[in-house]
Amino acid sequence: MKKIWKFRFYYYLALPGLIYFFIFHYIPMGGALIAFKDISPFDGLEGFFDAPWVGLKHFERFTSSVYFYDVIENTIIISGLKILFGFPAPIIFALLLNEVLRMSLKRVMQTISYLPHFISWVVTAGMITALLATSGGLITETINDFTGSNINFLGNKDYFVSILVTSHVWKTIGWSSIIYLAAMSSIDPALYESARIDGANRLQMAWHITLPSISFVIVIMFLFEIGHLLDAGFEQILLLYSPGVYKVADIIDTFVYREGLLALKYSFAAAVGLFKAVIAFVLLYTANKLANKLGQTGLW
Amino acid sequence: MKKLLSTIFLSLVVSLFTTSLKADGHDFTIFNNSGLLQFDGGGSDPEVLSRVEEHVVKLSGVRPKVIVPSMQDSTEQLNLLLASDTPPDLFQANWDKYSSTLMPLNDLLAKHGEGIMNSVPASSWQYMTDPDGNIMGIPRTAATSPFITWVRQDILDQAGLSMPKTIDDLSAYMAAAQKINPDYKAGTISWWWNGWEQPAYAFGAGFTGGMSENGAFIDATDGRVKPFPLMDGVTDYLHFMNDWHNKGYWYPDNWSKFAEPEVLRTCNIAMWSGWYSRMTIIVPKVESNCPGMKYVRTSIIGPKGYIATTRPGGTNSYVINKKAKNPEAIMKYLNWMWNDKSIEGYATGVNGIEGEHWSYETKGIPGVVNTKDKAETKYVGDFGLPLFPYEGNMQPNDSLWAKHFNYLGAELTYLDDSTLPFDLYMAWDKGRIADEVPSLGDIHRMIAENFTAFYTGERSIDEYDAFLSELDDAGMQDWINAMTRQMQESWN
Repeated sequence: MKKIWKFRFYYYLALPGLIYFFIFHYIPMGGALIAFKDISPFDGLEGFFDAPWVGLKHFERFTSSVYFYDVIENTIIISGLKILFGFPAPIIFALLLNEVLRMSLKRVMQTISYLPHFISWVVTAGMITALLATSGGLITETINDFTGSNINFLGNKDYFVSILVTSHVWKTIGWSSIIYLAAMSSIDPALYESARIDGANRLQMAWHITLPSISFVIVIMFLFEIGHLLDAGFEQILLLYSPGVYKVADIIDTFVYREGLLALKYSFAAAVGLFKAVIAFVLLYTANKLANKLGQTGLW
Repeated sequence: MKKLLSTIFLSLVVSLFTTSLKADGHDFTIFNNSGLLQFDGGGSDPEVLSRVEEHVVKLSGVRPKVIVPSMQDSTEQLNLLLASDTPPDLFQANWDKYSSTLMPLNDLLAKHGEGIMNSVPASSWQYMTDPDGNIMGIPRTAATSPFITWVRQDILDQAGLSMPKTIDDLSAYMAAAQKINPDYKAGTISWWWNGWEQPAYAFGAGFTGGMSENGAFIDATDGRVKPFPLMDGVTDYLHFMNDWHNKGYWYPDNWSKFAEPEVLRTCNIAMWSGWYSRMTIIVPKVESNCPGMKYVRTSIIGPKGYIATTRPGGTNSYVINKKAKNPEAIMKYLNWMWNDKSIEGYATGVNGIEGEHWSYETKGIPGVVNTKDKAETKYVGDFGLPLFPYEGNMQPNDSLWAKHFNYLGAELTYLDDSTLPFDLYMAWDKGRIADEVPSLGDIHRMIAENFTAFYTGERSIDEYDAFLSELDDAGMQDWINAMTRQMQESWN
């Protein structure tokens, strides 16, 4: 108690954040109960308490869907590919930026790379649609000029996931690199100085000094990514997909959007949300354990 | 979970917002998800909006407060608002889907709705009545023929062809168009609604005899209601679509997402068989890019009749929340908005203050009005509630919009050259069907996905029987049972 009083100003600083998490992240957890009830969204709180308990009905409905395995598979594949290409990209980008000596050039490159983060997915999807239109689309027409083939990229299962991953990397590479650049700025310059005296070149310094020094940030960011493995990019996919590519593009969130939210089946949507949260927790817990075992800093 | 938390959070925010609306002396709230404001994301200038509101109060005698949809999907926002403590009083929806939250309108219409009753075609009211005789909404639309195929007169003239009358004529037209310009293509939209219905509504009837609003027909052999994929002639329809794909007639992006204005702006769409408003609203705005381009409406017949299917008015309607505190004020407002003797209410709601934002060219029903650009008036129509076919009564003296309003007023309800479905005047309770068929979403996805694959040849039409077996496994019989049961109840 004495310690709390002693450090009370730090607690005051933390208070707004704690209140925010309590109100918006902990209290709503009670709402997860609707996954086990049949609620009508229009009955308000009364309906929340009075609605009949239906056990695992909504979970069974989800798992018995013909497309259950499809949407799980698509979610993991799309998310996995986004991690595979999107996770190392900002690290490499940050390493490259770190090597740029002229500050003005570095700042221009940083600013340009951050811009896509501020463009909403609605606008980005419009840009992608325009670039890939078979009539007048810059990319499609250019490919057509060279190869003579006019490909409907957005309607083709072979290309759709690549479009998702590429646009995801484009949109996130700059913004995600900030944290790595920040970590790099805290590396002791004496380490580079010593390495240089020992004859290390830039690549060797990046490999033996920079990367090990920011490895704790990389591990933590990777754990966050694992925790979001089942969030494969709802808005991006919803805005770009169509029936022709459902086979590779329909993910848990788009499935829930069609079946749950638009059809007013909130209990069903909550059940799938809970299912996702449990899987995400297991993944995060396992990854964290693994990180600890490998001697890396984990989340707890 | 994230979605659930977001939903609850947004509900809280929306509740706070609407609470403040209630507290500021308005008679009722309108969630204007009519579609009128869909393309006016910038919104009205607050000062202008405030003056229009005072004008509306002066003319209508009631004070509405408008909530403008701010989310990309207004349905999702509506659902969130309805789940909040202070839901909107008036909104647009399929009443069958929201019936548990709505107020029957019989008494209100009898007391304050004479003008509305006269303005709405008698046939449209048939969709609005529940099995107990309650009128649950004011019909947003009427039976129409929105999937008519359009070709270009300039291409016909260049090719020396007369107006196509049959499917074969249409194929000959496309062949001739591509001889003139290999980039000429045929456009439609495949991803609206359930993702398969629009091309089927535009062409399917010519090969099958037409399907209903639920994508269904009555099988004469057993009297049961069955889905479109089971109709005789469906494979002929699919062969036709695939044949056109193989010949390169279809615009490839028809089977994915594309921006219709941008595509029409290329001047390369030789034929259009998607939603009509692309021809009546978008084309007048882009045709200056394409000198000589002139789309004309066709009447095409296939082996089993007109290729387009008439679209029932359906249950889409303006509805009043059962929690509304002041329903009489709402009905008075609506009676002013869609009055059978004057377009004052509708013209004010859509255009703003008479004399400042618009003026009469000719008064009466229909009336012609002079309007200004919305960017100039800074009022985008927040108080306006479009009602078809009433909106055809306000004809703008503006060449860009004249085509659209003339079409609404005269041609959209012309049903003689499209195939009438068996359920033209039957209101389905689609919410109940969805409850009785838990796998309905799977079935719709299966049809959408496979029809697209059949169109493009990704799946051979020889596998059609296997596709029907897959539909059976997904629960198609439950769908047949639910639709048949409802039709029998309705017709009894």
